[in-house]
Amino acid sequence: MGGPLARALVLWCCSAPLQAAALAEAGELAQMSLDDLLRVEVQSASRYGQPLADSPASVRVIEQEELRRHHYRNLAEALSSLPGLYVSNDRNYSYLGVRGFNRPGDYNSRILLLTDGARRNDALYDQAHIGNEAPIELDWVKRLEFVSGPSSAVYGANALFGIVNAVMLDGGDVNGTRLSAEVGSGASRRLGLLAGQRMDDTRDWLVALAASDTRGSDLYFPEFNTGVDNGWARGLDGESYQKAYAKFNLGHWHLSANLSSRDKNLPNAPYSTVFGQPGTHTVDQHALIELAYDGLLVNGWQQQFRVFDGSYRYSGDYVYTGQIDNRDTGRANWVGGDYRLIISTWPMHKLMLGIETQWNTLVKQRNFDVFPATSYLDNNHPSRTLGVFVQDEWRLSRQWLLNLGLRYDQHSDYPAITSPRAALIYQPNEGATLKMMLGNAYRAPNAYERFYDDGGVLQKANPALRPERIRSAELAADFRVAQGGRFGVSLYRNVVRDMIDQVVDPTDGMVVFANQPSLQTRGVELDTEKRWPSGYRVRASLSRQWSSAVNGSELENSPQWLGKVVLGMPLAAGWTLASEWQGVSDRRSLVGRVPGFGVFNLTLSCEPMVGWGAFVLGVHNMGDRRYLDPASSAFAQDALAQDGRQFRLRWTLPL
Amino acid sequence: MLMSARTVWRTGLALLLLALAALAQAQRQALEPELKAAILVNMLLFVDWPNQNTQPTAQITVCYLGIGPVSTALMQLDGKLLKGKPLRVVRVEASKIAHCHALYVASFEAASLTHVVPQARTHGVLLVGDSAGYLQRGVMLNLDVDRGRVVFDVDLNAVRQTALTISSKVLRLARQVIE
Repeated sequence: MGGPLARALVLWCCSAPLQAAALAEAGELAQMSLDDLLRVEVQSASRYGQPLADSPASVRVIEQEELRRHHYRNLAEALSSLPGLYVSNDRNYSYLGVRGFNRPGDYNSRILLLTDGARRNDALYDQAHIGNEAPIELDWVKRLEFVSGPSSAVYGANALFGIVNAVMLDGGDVNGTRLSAEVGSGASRRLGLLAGQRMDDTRDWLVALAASDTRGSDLYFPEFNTGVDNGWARGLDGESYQKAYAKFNLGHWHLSANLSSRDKNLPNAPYSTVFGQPGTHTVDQHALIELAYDGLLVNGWQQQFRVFDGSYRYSGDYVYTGQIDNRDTGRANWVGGDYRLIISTWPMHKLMLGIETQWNTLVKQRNFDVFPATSYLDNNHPSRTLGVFVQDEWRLSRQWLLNLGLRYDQHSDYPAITSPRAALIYQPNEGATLKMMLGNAYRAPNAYERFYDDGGVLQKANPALRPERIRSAELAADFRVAQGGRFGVSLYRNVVRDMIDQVVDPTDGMVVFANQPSLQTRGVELDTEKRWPSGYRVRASLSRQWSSAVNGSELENSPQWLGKVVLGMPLAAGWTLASEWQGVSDRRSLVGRVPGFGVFNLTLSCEPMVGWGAFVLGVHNMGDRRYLDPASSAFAQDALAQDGRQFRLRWTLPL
Repeated sequence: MLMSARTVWRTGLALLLLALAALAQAQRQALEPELKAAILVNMLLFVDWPNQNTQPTAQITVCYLGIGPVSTALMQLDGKLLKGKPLRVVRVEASKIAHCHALYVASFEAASLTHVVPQARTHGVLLVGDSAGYLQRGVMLNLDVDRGRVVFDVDLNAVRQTALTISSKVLRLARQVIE
């Protein structure tokens, strides 16, 4: 064989090892110029390590430094600083709104919560807990990521509106022991201990503990200004929690365990309980143990797998007239695993194949009166899920990247569902990225939505519920401007079919979950950020959103405007000032409308001082602004007032 | 000259293969530690140490404190020639860094910065890190990963205190230069 083909084949084969993995060797790198080295892409080992510009979705990240400077207490507070996100609270749980969707009565079941990539939504209510009820503390988080849009093609159920991924600290990020003590408004106290060490190249451990206790403020509810209490709930807003987290890394193996328990008193008389009396409270407990393996890319092949065992316990005591204690409990146990294979031997392609399965071995709900003992509900509906997915990242040219994903899901109670996703990414130069994204996602009804029934008092079951589906389209552009600056704009449209929503059955007045006709939201998000070498930083965003139900009306708890400004500025002598302003326009509630508001938060922090440790002083809602969030049908109130001005002081001492 | 159909086909395929090969090379990727090590070493080409310094002039010495991904990658570059001098990659104690031209400090070695920074200033050792906040703690050149590429920030004040000179080429490529 002579000819041009043979010559090309020889050239091809000689350069094959390089192309095979598209991975440069250390020796080869050493021959390259500095300019070229700075252009080489980083091949990261983790599932999430792909460069943001290449990811097939809009991804927002808050780094550790910023999380600490603003002294965000929990995931909810940090997330609400991101474009298009807003949080509602009913003094029990925090609910994350994404791009105009935050249905009153929904338990964050359309958001997927991950810690280090591991799924944290429970198997009964599908809840992503993001407030103080979350299984983790924000103190233990190195990096918080939010991926907008449906990601079912890779992550399966619940990834309808977005994914919250908390990348947890490793021992090497701490290298020592840190003790922190905090006091704040409402007689709140918190103690935290964080210890970790990177022992050598392969071994690394981390242990984290936190405990908190809050008496809470006295709260006034005009709706209850009738009885002896004149609408005041005194000393009924208390909360306490205890959480533990541990992680051990041995080479490519990671073992982690997490336990949490949160007890919250409910001051606002949900579910027609007696107002002004103590005893109505909920307890939420999470447990997870997980073993993960994250292999290296060897000859273009990379393997990742994990096995996990999780459990969730909920118990709510609801006090009714005549000292009746009605207890509502939920218990879920699950085991599962996933396996991913990333293949990049094929030039221009990076293929990911995966399989995921979960057995929900116990999905038990009970409702009974403690005394006199009467049972209203006692059922258990175990289920099983299996998902198979494939994703191809196809580098069409230096500028164009096509990301295609397809996922096939089986649920023991429902017919199988296929969810596709496609993203086309164009990077004309270093400073600009354009993304066009289309995707489908689904969610099967959870056991609570299908089977909960409180004995014919307020809520009834609907075993005939069908899965809901979302179709989403997004166009996003991102530009780098000057040094350390960027500007982004995103246009999106989400259509939800068969949405599972809490409604009142007109025939009997009972609350029930039912599939709704099509709903849609569309909107535009603008966001910008800039960092200056002197340490100043600013990040700001503005979102405009239109939502409509099938009859053309606006959705509940769906603000048309969201605005945020987040600032950081270094002061003298190692002190830093961080502040943020969040504005939410007026929203529809179940009965009326809730006015818009703006809230300003301010935090002052210092660098650790030798022998003295570090101090953080935070003021939340500095202007003591009174604002409300729409309430669900569990409440007599149409809207619930949120916290006024709150102070927090934290002291952290390295031991 | 007329080409046969077969030759046209072969030539076309050959061109396609070459084009693909060129594209594949353009989209080069590397593991983060290897890339950081290569950038660190390459950077030394653009740094000048004053003659009266304590470092031996026959070789260029890059030091590290503990075993980690980047230091492991650095070791692989031992023996490479830089400006005609051999590169020596050596492990040192935090108290004995005077003979190093450059010292890499990993994220898990933050505790040693208090020992290392004053010595580096006295002896003219280029301190290189790849951890958030290191620039504020006395490290002169800090690597970071931004949008899938390795980038670096330079604290020019810290560099000037050591009497080292860094070529403007490096400063031009920096993401951030603090003065």
